[in-house]
Amino acid sequence: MDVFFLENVKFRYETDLVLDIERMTVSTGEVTLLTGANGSGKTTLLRMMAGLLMPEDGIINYKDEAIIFGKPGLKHRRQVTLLAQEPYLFRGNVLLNVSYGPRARGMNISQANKKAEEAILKTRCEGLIQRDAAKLSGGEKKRVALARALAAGAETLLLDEPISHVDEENSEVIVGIIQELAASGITLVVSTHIPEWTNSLSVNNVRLAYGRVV
Amino acid sequence: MEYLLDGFADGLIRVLRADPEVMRAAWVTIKVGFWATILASLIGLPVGFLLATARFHGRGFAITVLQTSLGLPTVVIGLLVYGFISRRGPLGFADLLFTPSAIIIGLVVLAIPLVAVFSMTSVASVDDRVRETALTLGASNGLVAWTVLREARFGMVAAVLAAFGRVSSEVGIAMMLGGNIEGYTRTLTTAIALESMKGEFGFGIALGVVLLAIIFVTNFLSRYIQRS
Repeated sequence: MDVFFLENVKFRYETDLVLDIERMTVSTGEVTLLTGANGSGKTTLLRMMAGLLMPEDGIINYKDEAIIFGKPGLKHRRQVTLLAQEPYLFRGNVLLNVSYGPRARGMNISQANKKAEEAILKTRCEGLIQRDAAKLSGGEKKRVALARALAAGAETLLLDEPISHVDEENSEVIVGIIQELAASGITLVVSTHIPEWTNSLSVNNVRLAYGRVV
Repeated sequence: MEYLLDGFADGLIRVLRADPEVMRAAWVTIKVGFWATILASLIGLPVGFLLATARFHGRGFAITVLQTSLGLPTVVIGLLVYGFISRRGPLGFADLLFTPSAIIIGLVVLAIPLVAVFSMTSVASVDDRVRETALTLGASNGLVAWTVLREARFGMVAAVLAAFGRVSSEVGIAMMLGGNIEGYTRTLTTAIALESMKGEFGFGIALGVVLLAIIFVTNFLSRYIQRS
């Protein structure tokens, strides 16, 4: 079954047409790899799929329903979570950040912390749990942001360049987690401009160039 | 020179002895400053947040009006409020003139633009990713707004403390609307003006030292909060 269905999706930054997707689908439980050079439209496409950016034209359906963009699209935003290329961690410690998603879904603090701790263990962030998020390294921030995305409990994860600007050690951890997630059957859409690290994964490869699927 | 040194010595002795008249003026200053800051914050903080986050017709004009209001002379505010609350004014029936409440009203008018502009700047400087991160983690509209506010909280607190510092050191409004009644509406600034005119330089210094101490503590807190 297709979770995402995109047709004739166009987006412009000012007058430049940066995205022009004729047709694209993402199936349930599948890992879709978005590849392409920097500036090929990967981030723009992921932000649209996350419901954060509205296309100028075209159809983006999630589970046969048109996505509602921005603040009104709460239902979609609770089904699909985006891990940004340069994630922002809120002021406070790691636990507070990771428990944000569960708290946003109405869980009480102890339930949310339990959910957060599970995600923290999964992303090997247990040593960071009480650390100030502002004082983490780039790689640690990315791992914590991944834990936060997992704790949110979305059924589909969009990962934008998950290992860019990350040291080798953190990168290995993140790749390991992505492999585990892929094996668990969660739907993943992962963008990267260095696809070599995904060789061990069975993926549906979508290559973008100048905003088009090639 | 001797006159100045004697004045400073007299002033310090009065402070160390906790001169009752100085302490009364300090108490009135803190009291009216506190309530004026609270009321101005209740109005100014939401206005600042709205101007930073919402896009509506007339927003630019509203920001310009607020920024212009920052430069309003305090005697002009005093004069306007005086017109409203004096016997012949529309609020004359409330008998507010020459009461602490009258000073508070004037100080609220003075502090609202300050709180609103500072908090607007603080919210506007929050990273755009805060909103998007909250959205993609499934936050409701209310939680998204709360998250943005939480990220801007140090700037908001600094705005409130800056307003307190400003209203505590104000003289024109307190003089015009309070009437400088000893133990009732006499603030540190109006007392300084009165005592120095009477030639009580030492007393003026004592009042000035207490006022500076209040403003120093306020600024110290503001800086501490911003740095943390």
